[in-house]
Amino acid sequence: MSNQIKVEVASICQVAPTIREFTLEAIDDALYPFSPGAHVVVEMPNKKKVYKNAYSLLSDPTDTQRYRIAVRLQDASRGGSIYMHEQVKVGDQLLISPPSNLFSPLWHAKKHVMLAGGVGVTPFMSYIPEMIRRDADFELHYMYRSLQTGAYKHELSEQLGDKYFDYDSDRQTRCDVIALLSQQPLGTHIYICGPDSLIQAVEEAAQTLGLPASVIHSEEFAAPKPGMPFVAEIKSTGQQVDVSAEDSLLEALEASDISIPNLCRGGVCGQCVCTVVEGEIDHRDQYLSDEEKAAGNTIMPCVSRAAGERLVLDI
Amino acid sequence: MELESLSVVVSKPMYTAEISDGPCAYSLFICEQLNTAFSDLYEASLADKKDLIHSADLARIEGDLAALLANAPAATRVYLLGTEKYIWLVGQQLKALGVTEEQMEMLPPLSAERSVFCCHCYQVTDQVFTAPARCVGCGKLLAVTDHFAKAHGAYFGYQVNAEDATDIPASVELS
Repeated sequence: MSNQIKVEVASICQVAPTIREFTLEAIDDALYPFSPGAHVVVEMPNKKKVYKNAYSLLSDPTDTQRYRIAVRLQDASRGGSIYMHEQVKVGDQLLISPPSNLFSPLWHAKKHVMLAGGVGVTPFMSYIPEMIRRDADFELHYMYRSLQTGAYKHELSEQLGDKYFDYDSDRQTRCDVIALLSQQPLGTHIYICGPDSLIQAVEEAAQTLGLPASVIHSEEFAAPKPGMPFVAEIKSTGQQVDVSAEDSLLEALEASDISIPNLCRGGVCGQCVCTVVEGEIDHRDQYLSDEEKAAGNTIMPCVSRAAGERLVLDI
Repeated sequence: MELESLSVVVSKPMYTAEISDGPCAYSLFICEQLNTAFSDLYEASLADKKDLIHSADLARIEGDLAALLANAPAATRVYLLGTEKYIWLVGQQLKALGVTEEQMEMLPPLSAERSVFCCHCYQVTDQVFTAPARCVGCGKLLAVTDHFAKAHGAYFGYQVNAEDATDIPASVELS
């Protein structure tokens, strides 16, 4: 894509046992300023294929000289995070998308409560400088396993003081989500970035207590996970597209020159939605509602797959 | 043609007497006139803490709300009963204090009367039961649309006979 930005990897540092931070500097022009919570899609030109994963920007949104991202080595990685950890070296050039934002704070909130799980702390790293500039009322609750994650915990603790709370499940300290939510005053907005289990636990707690769904916000980029191979059939042309175990449906379509509009490639933004006319779907996205998933006639091809051997797409 | 496109804007709120009594830590009942059903609702509330405001005076309510909601929990639910304009204007005060629309239970308005916002002089005419209606601000005869403004608790009104002052449509009762 022509609007991609070329950046140079200026430094790499290990910020937690499984998390590496990459500082990306502008090569030609200055980078765009961005809004807190924004992400970029990084292109990783691996030998066999190009991976494209979304990563939250964790630098100060006003810094147009460099962007910082943090990449967790995923257990079930198909190669994207392995590529970033093993192949990318200081001085390398990478292509990234311009920043886009699907997880912006709601500035009219009376108070902001951020719940981070592991590497999910990254979008909040860009929230915090802006929250401080605006003198907003906020708290960060950071849940991690110190044997794997927990990046930036010392600097956050030092910077935020009594606004910072941490929970290390490798040391048996856990966050009581019900107690945390029930203490919050009227007008509080809750932001969650972390594993699906955390998002669900918070949403369930909110429902149990009677908090409105509109004050709960979450984001989780699901790097596409492998699955069983299947065939996608294009209804309009009858073309059969083989989707291997390692490829996402979106990648397989792109490899067959069928371009689908897309943005985050992580099941969040909704751009790549396709209509399914036949076949069972294994939904893995955060975008479609439970009702839409149950209806079974739409799929987010960036992360979701066929539950069976064949899907017919209405494209 | 323009008139037709205006008349199809329908944002008239729908109300239901079925009140959701989901869980909450604090419930607040606000009414313009207190009736038995509303006081029964208040009595039946199982919230840990509850309050009832019975007043038609919006300025007084604003002061009461600021005091009552200053330390209210996120799990607050508010029940509103009154004329349509009243419930939406109180709703605006609540919104400014951080209450979302999902947290407001608006009961069906006590009467079919509408408030009408005049797009010519920006005045709001209350207690409108029939259309067209005479604007209290500029005296123009207004068509009453189903286009509802939450911020005013009023319906959009425009002059019905601007082309020909003698063309006065038959009066229709509003619902």
